[in-house]
Amino acid sequence: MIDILRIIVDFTAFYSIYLMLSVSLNLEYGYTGIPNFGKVMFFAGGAFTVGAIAGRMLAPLAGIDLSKLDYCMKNVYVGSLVSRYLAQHAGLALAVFIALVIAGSLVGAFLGWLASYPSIRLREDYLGMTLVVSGELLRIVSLNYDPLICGTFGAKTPNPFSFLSGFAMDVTRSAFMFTIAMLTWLIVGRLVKSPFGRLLKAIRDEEEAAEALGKDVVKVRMKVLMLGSAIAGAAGALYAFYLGIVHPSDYAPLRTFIVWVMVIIGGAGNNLGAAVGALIYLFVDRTLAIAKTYMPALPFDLNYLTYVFLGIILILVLIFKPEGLIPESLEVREEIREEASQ
Amino acid sequence: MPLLTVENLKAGYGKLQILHGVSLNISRGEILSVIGPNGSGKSTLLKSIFGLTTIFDGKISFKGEDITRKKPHEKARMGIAYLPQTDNLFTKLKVKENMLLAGYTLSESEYQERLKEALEFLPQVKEFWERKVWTLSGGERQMVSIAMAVLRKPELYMLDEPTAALAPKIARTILEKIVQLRDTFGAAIILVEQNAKAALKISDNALLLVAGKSVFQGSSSELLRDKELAQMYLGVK
Amino acid sequence: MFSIEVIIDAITFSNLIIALAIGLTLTYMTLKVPNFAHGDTAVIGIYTAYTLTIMLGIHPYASMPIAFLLGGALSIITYILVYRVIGQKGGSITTLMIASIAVEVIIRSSLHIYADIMPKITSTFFRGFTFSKYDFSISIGEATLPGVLIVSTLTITGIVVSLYLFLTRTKFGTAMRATIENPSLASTLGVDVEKVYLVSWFLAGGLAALSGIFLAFQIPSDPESGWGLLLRVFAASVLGGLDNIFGAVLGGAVIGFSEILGIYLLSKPPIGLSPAYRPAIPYLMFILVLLFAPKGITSINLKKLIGGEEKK
Repeated sequence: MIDILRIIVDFTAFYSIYLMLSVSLNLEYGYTGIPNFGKVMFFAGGAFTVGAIAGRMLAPLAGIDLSKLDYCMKNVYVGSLVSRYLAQHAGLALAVFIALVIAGSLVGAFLGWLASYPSIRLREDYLGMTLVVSGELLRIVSLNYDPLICGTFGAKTPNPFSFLSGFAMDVTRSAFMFTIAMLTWLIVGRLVKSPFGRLLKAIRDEEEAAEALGKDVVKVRMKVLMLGSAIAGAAGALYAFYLGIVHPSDYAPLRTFIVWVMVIIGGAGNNLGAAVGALIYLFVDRTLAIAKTYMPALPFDLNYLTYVFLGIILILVLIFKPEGLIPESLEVREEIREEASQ
Repeated sequence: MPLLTVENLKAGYGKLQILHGVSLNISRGEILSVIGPNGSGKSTLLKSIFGLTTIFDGKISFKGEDITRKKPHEKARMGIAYLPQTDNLFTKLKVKENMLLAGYTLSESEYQERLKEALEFLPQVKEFWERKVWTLSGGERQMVSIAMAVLRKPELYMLDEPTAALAPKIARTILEKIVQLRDTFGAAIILVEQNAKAALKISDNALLLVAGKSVFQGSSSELLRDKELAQMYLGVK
Repeated sequence: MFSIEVIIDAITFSNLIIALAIGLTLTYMTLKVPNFAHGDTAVIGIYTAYTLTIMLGIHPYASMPIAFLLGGALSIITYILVYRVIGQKGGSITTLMIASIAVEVIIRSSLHIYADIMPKITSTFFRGFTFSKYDFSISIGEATLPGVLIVSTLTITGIVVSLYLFLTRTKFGTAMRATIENPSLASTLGVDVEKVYLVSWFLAGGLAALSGIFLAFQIPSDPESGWGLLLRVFAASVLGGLDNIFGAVLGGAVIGFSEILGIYLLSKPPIGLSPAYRPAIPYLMFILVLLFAPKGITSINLKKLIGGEEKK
């Protein structure tokens, strides 16, 4: 019995992350037409924030003198001491948790601004290229610049929910994550139904018309990218806490690809599609994780085959059903035309 | 028999209808000018004949064959040369390379022969043979595009505002060349022109288009004499 | 200021970046989409050569023609199956880019699967290898020139010259340049535009495969090597102007040289930057180009020239 509940709790945690990422990319690409091929970078930004700060910030409270030891070599040790300290101070633990998630989103937003600044005014292919290579650069920096997250060691993150234990802890943690994810989804959902949302679609579809109406297209794009990156950053922070460790190689471009799979299959341009796409990927991902333990040994890593299939499916969807499972409703399109012609 | 016949053509872009039933015919050795106010559908008429727009209704026949549904490059191969206002040259390539491309489908000997003819017709083109097209002036470019068209030896030329943005003296030269096309090669030429007076002066027949409909069809001299129409549409006092 | 070794490294590296940049610019000119799978095509070249070396004892340099063909073939296949289909359905540039990312993931993951399986068949490692032990060297005076310098320089020079002659002196080459500028006009004049695109994609893939082989002589390779190359290729192509093959050659040289020479200078005292930060150099140049001359440096020259010359 506990096993199934455990799986559900696990699912919920992962779904929260995927949902937030999917919502953020849908906002950027689905609504505003921004090709964010560097999504992983903003996700990593939030995660690295937690990895870089959490342990170091709380260590003195736990009675550790950082000047006396090599943080990176001993970060697991520091991490567990901090977790033990947090177990006694639940209020502080939760405050730190919320604060760092917010910090993660701010870092995400900042990176969003920084990475897009050179090319937000240019054509989308330049923007696509810029975001891809910026993500690559962040990964290299994180691998080599030890003060960030200890390079190849990775940094342990303390557990803000250690005031509980066992199953209760898992449930509480998942509940927090899911609440944050749901709130994000609902807020974005309201945002896109508002006039602002229609403006985004007008920019995506009829850029010149929108400009003629006096809208500063570049500024709006920038804002949307920052908002999307903030959400991705928050997701990254949650992920960092959940996993308990932040390692640079975990934030590979493959993650960006997966978010795109979620958004395209679910249906770009509508919030429900984002939720559905994330759900579909979640099932695929978690089922495989479980299946792997039961499968006979293959001569290669099964994950790679999964990516090949996902890539093929993505291409097929792009060719045959580009609107995804849940297409933008036609009535919404009429609304846009009205808005753009006013 | 006329070379090209257009019967009751209704055409436009996507769902937008521009032409509301236009008919015309043109024979070999004839210059037909299409004139009218801005937005009346002159360019659309040429584009529709060539197959670049949406045809809602009507029939287009060339040399007795129904070509209404044919694709542009098929019509090109049949002997119709369409010279749009813009985009009819490879600006990054040299003039000689543009000519080479104009004769792309010809054999080497055919190409040399036709090239000789074309350069006889437009000797000016030899002057900027090695130059890249983007360095040429508007009038010079127009000469090159006509030379390219002549190389293909079409029976029907459709020219969309060939003198647009050209200085009057150069515009006159171009118009003279168009007359020579008729006289030297016996070609049929449909000429869309903003400068109605100049066009009427060199053309045999005229079609006056207003809001996608034909308001006058007949000889150019007749149109010039019609005071009422001339005043309304041609800016003549 | 620079030792011979560093210059040699710079030349060799630039050669492969040039080859990659020419290919990227070529395919960009056909569909206006930056090919994110371009780097991985280079890795296909590496693994083709490595497999032939391990299993048949063929020297990597001898595999170059085969790698060229395979890279070109793969490139054409992706064009026909993916990009052309989406393009014909009216897919936007962004849709093509998404497809490009998907193709990239498929190729890279397949390479991983290959690199997982092959060691079991051949009892050799298929990750982290280099070709440097197969290289020859020539001593000239005090300097020792590695074979890869000579082979890559000869190959790239040969390719650039042949490409130039092909594009300017042959009818089809001229038709290619025309098609790239104005495909509909070219088509009206009877040029087979599809053929032009196929040739472009084939060349691009073949060149990428060759540059992969040169890369493998310089650094340890694995399926992830391609992704890192993308950064340099984009920088080089954008620097040269995405509409300009000569620009790609120039851009490749600039990026290649500045990276090697730059990191050499920066890694010495007093800065002492770790060589692992090499990618920061092409990245910085990429950003600078975007900020100040997004159409590439060749466009700046043109503007200065046109200033007095263009008549209206």
